[in-house]
Amino acid sequence: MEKKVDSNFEDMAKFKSPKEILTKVHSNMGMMFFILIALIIVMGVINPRFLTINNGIIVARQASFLALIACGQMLVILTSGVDVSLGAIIGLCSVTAAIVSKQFGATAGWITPIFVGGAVGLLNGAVVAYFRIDSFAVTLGTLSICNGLALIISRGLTVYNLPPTYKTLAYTNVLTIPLPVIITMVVLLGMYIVVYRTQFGRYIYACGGNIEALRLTGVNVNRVMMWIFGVAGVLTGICAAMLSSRINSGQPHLGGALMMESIAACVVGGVTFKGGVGNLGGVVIGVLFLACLSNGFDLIGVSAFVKQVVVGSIIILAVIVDKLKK
Amino acid sequence: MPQTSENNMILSLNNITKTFPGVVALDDVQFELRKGEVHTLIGENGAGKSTLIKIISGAHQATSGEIIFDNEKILIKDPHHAKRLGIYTIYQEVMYIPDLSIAENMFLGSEILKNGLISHRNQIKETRKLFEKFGYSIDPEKMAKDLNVAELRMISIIKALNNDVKVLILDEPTASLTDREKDLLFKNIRLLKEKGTGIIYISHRLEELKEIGDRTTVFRNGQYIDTLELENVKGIDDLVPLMIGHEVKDKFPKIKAQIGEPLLRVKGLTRKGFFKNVSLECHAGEVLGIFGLVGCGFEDVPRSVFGAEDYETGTVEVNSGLSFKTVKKQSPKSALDKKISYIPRDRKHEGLIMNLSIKENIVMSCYHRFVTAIGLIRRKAVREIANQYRDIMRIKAPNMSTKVENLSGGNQQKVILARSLCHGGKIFLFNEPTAGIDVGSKVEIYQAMNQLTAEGSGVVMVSYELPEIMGMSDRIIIMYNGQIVKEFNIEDASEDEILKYAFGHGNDENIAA
Repeated sequence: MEKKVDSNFEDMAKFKSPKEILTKVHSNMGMMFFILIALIIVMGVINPRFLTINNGIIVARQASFLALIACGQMLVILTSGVDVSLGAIIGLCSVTAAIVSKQFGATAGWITPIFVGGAVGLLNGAVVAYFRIDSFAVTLGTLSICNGLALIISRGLTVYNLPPTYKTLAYTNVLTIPLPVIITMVVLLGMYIVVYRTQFGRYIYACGGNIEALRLTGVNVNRVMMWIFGVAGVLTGICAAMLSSRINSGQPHLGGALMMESIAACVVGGVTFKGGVGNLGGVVIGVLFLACLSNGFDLIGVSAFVKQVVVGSIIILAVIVDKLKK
Repeated sequence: MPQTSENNMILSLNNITKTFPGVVALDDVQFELRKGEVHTLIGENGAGKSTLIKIISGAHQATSGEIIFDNEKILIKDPHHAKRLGIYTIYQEVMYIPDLSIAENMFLGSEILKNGLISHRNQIKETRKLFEKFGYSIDPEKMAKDLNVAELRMISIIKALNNDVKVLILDEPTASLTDREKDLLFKNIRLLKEKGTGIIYISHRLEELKEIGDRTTVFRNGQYIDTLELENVKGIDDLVPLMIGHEVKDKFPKIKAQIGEPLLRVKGLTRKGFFKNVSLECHAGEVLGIFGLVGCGFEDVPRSVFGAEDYETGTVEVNSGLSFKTVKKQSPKSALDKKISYIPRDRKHEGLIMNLSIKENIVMSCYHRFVTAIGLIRRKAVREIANQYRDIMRIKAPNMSTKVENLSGGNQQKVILARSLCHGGKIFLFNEPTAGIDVGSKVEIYQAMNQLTAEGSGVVMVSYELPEIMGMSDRIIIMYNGQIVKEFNIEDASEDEILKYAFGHGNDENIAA
């Protein structure tokens, strides 16, 4: 299954001229790409079960949730900011989705989180842009607000007894491929087009490079910043809908770990905090890397505690490698 | 004899080549520095001067070639190694910690300790002694952030001189220094010479070379051209052909255009602390030069007119054919919509988006013209328009996908101009259009101005360089202390008169007006 996602990524790269691909693969994610392949081989050698199709599907499903939120995180980090509220947004989305689906049915429950996530994201963006406040501070605030709201709405409890169709979003398979994987791939393809082929996408990179110069070219940078956070929120909302469907309930603390992982995937994927540097391909590799590592360790029987230490070390290593490259 | 001459040499570089991916920065060059000499380096931007400096100071390593320092073949590993050898570099941009005092900055990294703790009292005492030794007076307890650039530069120079310096590299040391500080610097340079220190001196100000330098080495396009005894160089103009490879026939190729109706009308513009009651008009086909001395506030005028900065009172109006339309405050978009373009002085911060390619920068302010109905960028169209402007502006780059951060100052300026042209404008506000740009590119920028006025656009050019103002303007406005004090037609203007007003010595009637 990893192969499937990889080739999807390769397809994306085909939009570029061969020379550009070479430079990109070489300079941006070449290293991580080969390390990912090496990881897959090593895991496969240690435990052949890792390379089975069934396990591939498991990894892909794990990766599909993280990929969406990491993609949103990438947009924000490209502007030299960071959004630490994405995990809390998942929790808020999850409980609202669950409650809405009980009232108005499964479809409404799937769609609501997209709007909730988008709204919180736009709010983040508006405060960051119009008041020129550091995104870390603002999203730290929304993190707490979203956590609080999620607990208030759910009275601190998991929301159960959702309509039976609600979980079909996460459990349907199309030609043995889980629907979340397909949704994620479609969304990523869309994001690829947005980032590389639309004005908005180019403005994202320009924001990270030199926001003052962009403002002086007559671009409404505040609106661009607002929408960057908004899109990150929407992607997080989609992720929340799929996650809630997967656990068939609404949980106020659903996305806590995903926020850190989304930053980790970006860092491993070569997105730098300086802003303006990084690409979607790298982030996808970062996500797959974390998913393979996590799944592989489970199969081999490494404890979850050790796993954390290893993942942490890898993040630091990735940053060092990035630094040495320059 | 050869023996003595060799002993006299502190540093020599032979057959140095340095390549970066895709670029040969230095191509088999040589350079030698005697003890006690001031050896100036000249060349256009991108000629290879800074690369050479970086190799000597250990920031870069040569791809091939040998470095002989103090009669020994060596390899300079990194800047620390260079310092241990006695090679000190004062870069153009001064490094300092704003929230520490001068004394603390002075001893940063080599603090004076007492019982294992920093002794502020001793550091301040030592700093004071040092300043006395070099004839400089400033309170060592002042915070670094409260100093101006010139003071910071002097302090960083003194800091370097305090060490056992064998080779001192000065990169544009006099930029932004006052005459008094410059004299002080030159005096100290001469003292160092007597002690036998070899000094490498880079400056774009050719007039300074004869004043302080002994020899000069010319670079061009990464190649060594010649080394001359400055004694034998008659006029500085003799050096210019060596630098650019051909003579600049006309440094200011002004072509007068037909002057037409007013395009831009600024009325009573005031921004507190910067400028007051500025009114001006710029006509079609005209270059309006605004001149003044550092601190006269004029550089903020075009920024406010364009909307990059706010202003308190006054109006900016643009001729839209039938009537004058007001430009919104603080809105570059409004200015651009009404055909005002701004070419900033600070290309890195206000001008370009450094991490993006040339072609993307060119279309950045009018991307909407290059998208399909569903919002996708038409990349072929972008490429074509970029190639078109590459030819018009003569932008030198491997290709249009090159990131602008890899371009020289002159080419960056051309990209900004190309962006303005691509967006389309009628009024072009140039803020110091040729600051930090090499001679050849300067002429090309001036030619672009000619082209603009010939097509009936208006140009407002703010500059500290009087020759440029005299050479390119049709009309000159002089500012002093934030106000317009005098206006000249170019035919009536003389350098003396202009300077008189710029120094605030014009007659009082004019100031009142």
